[in-house]
Parts: sequence; C-alpha cells; structure tokens
Amino acid sequence: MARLIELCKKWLYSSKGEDNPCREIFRYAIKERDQEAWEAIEELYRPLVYRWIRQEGPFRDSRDLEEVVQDAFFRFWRYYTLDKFRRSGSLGEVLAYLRTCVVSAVMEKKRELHRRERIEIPWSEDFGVSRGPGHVPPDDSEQDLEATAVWQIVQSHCRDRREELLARLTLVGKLKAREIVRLYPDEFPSVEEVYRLRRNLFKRLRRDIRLKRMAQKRL
Amino acid sequence: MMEKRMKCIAPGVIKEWEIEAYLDGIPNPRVSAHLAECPACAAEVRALLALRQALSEKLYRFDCPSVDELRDFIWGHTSKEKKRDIVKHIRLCSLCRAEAIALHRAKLEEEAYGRVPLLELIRTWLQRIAEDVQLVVMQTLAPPSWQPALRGRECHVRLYQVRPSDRPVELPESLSLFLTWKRQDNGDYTLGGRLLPSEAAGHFRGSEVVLFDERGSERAYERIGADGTFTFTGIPPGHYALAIMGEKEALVTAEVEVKE
Repeated sequence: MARLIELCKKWLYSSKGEDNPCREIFRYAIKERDQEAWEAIEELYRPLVYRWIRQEGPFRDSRDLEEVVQDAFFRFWRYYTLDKFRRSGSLGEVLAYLRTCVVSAVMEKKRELHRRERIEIPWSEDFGVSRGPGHVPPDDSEQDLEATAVWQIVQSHCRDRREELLARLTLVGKLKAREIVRLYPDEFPSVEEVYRLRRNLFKRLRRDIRLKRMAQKRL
Repeated sequence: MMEKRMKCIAPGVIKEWEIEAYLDGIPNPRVSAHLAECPACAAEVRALLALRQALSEKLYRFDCPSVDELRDFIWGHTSKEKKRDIVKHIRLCSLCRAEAIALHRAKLEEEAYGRVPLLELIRTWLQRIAEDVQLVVMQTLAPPSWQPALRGRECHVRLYQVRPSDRPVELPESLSLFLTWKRQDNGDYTLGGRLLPSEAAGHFRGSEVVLFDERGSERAYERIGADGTFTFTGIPPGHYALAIMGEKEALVTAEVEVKE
C-alpha cells in the first residue's frame, strides 16, 4: 500500500507515470474494504475535495467546512459500491463520483443552513409585541403537525392553482417575490402582484387556528 | 393600513406592499421608522413574520428528493419509477432543478479530467492574460466612461444596513467593481457594472445586484452574468446605493451618483 500511495502521489502532483496506482487504491478500498486504503484516499484527495468545496461557494464557519469534507467522504464510502466501481472506465470517472459526493454534501449543508435560517428583518428586535384579545395560547401538549399535514392545511386555503404555486414557492422554496417573478413571469408578471396575492393568502392562513398555534409558539 | 386590533398611529403612511417588500428583506428606512413608533403595525409585522417562519421551517423542501437521490438520478442509478418521480418534481421545483444541473456539471467536468484539449487550455490562458491587461488599463488609465467604484478591500462601504447581522466579508484582494453610465434619448441612463478579474468575479456569478434609490426603496435588480457584468436600463439621474446580494445579505454595497 505504501508503494501504491507513493506512485499515486507522484501521478497526482506531477502527472508523471500512470494513474493505475491511484485506481488500485480505490479498488482496495472498495472491494477489500481496506481501512488503510480508505485512509490513503482521504489523505490523498483531501486537498482536491477542499478545492471542489470552495468552487461551490464559501462557508463562513470553518466547522461547517470540516463537516462537509467528512460528509463528502462518508457519502462516497457509503454509495460508491463495487458494482459502480467496476462500471467506471477510468480514474476520472471515479473522481467524478467523488466530486458529485462533494457537491451533494455541500447541497445538504446549504439545505440545512437554509432550513434553520430565520427570516430576519431590520430592527425587528425593537418591535413591541401585542397579545391582544385574539391571542391563542400555545398548547404544549399538542404534537407538532407533520409537514404533509401542514401543507394540506395551506393548500386548503389556496383559492386556485396560482395561489398554490405561490404558497409552494414562498414556503417550500423560501423564495422572495422578485425571485418568483424571475422564475415564473407568466404566472406572476410583477413583484406587486406577488405582494398582493401573498398578502391575501397570509390573511387567510392567519385565521386558521392550527397554524395560529404553530406561529404563536414563535412569538 | 392593516387588519389589526390596535390602531395604527398614522394610517396610510405605509402601504401594504411596502410591508411585504420589507418582509422580503428590502431595506426601507421609512418602514423601519414607522414600525419603531407604531406598536400596532409592529405587532402585525411580528405576527406575519412568526407565521411565515413557522411554516417555512416546517415546509422547507419537505417533499424534495434527497441530494443522494438527485446524485443517483444524474448518474442513472435510479429505478424507472423513481426517475419518473424525480423528473416530474424537477419540472416544478426550481431549487432541485438547479441542484441537478450543478451535480451534472460537476460530473461532466470531472469526467473530462486529464482530457482537456491543449487548444482549450491556451484559450483560457490567453483570456486570463487579456483580462489582467484590461484590469491594469482600467485601474491606471481610468478611461472616462468606466469609473472604478470599488477595489479589493475597499468593498465595505455601506450606505444602508440591510440586515442587523450584516458584516463585511473577505473579498478576493484583486476584485474590483467598475461602473459606467450612458444617457439614453429619453433622459434616463443605462448603468453598467463589471467585476474584474472574472476568476474572482465567479464568486458572484448569478448573484443579484439591487439598486436602491435615496429613500431606500428598491429601484431595479439584475443578475451578474457569467462574465461578471450586469446592466440596468431606464435609470433616472440621481443618487443610488448598489448592493450585490449574497444568499442572506448584501455582500458589497457602493454609492453611485448617476449624472451627466
């Protein structure tokens, strides 16, 4: 294995020799499930993985970056089966799969960050919060509704297909008005139209007692 | 201005669309000032925000295929049924569509590893050299039509606070933003921008550029092209703030005085 690693390094850093040793390390790792080979792959390709991640966009938190690197190698280890390896014709194809694992890991991290992301508006912390006569106290014993159940409630408040599309783009896609207009100019010709429809839809959603409870947990 | 239990202290001052724009993160000092003064409207906005937040957290991409399913899809490792479902979903979901394209591009780029034709390499080098020369010429000779607006670490000028969490970001040292404007027949202007060098500008490819007027209202928006350029048309003379938006916040802001 040490000799293979040496030859592979030579090929990776100077493009001298053949790529066979590199492919051979992958074969050991995938077919034999050889721990040393897996460790060699992580060591050899870590700089490349970092470069691919940087190409997909910056991560502000270095912990996020490290998690993505680990996740990428884990996905490769889990999903790149012997059958897939046998079907690959070159090292380029193996690395292409590794790269798509890197891109998947970046996407997963972005999805996670976006899901947790709060909708922030400037100076919102200074707002007074009113709990007037319409306030419904949150019921902690109530189980959280499943996403599909919540979506069915939202759908039931949509008056037509266009409103349903808007609800999907706003809530499932977290898209802003101008992004919606850019993506669906035929359905939504202007930002003002999106604002108007969204406003009316949310007026209806706010009257739904189940959604009201969900929202008031956040107030 | 809105359905409410308390009364707004200045009905009609803020329009409903302005609140909606504000909830989209578009800065508007008038709205901010009103919300700071008016408990009724502040409560209304807070409630709307809470509902949107709760629903988005619950529903965000709840029925999208996982990234592993998308990767299998572009590698052709999915069953017929699964493939049909994903194709159907991708037609509707722009986010999954973009992810599938990115995965596909990564796959193709890497498969071509080691097989880049020599001519393509030479073309890329020549393009880089040409851009470097162009950058030096623009920075040193400063032709009258192109104004250097921002250079490298000067990119932290801010006219408006877009989000409370705003903070300067580390931009490539070499990145420069150049602006140019040209008067049209009707008296309005075309405002063009260019980020150089394009390698660093690639960081912002597809990002939105938003033009705010003096009141802080959004005037226009465009996307940065693959070559690092963008163009606004029909811009009246005046003082503007230009913001290059990241996923959550403005990454770069610059002041622009569009005039003869």
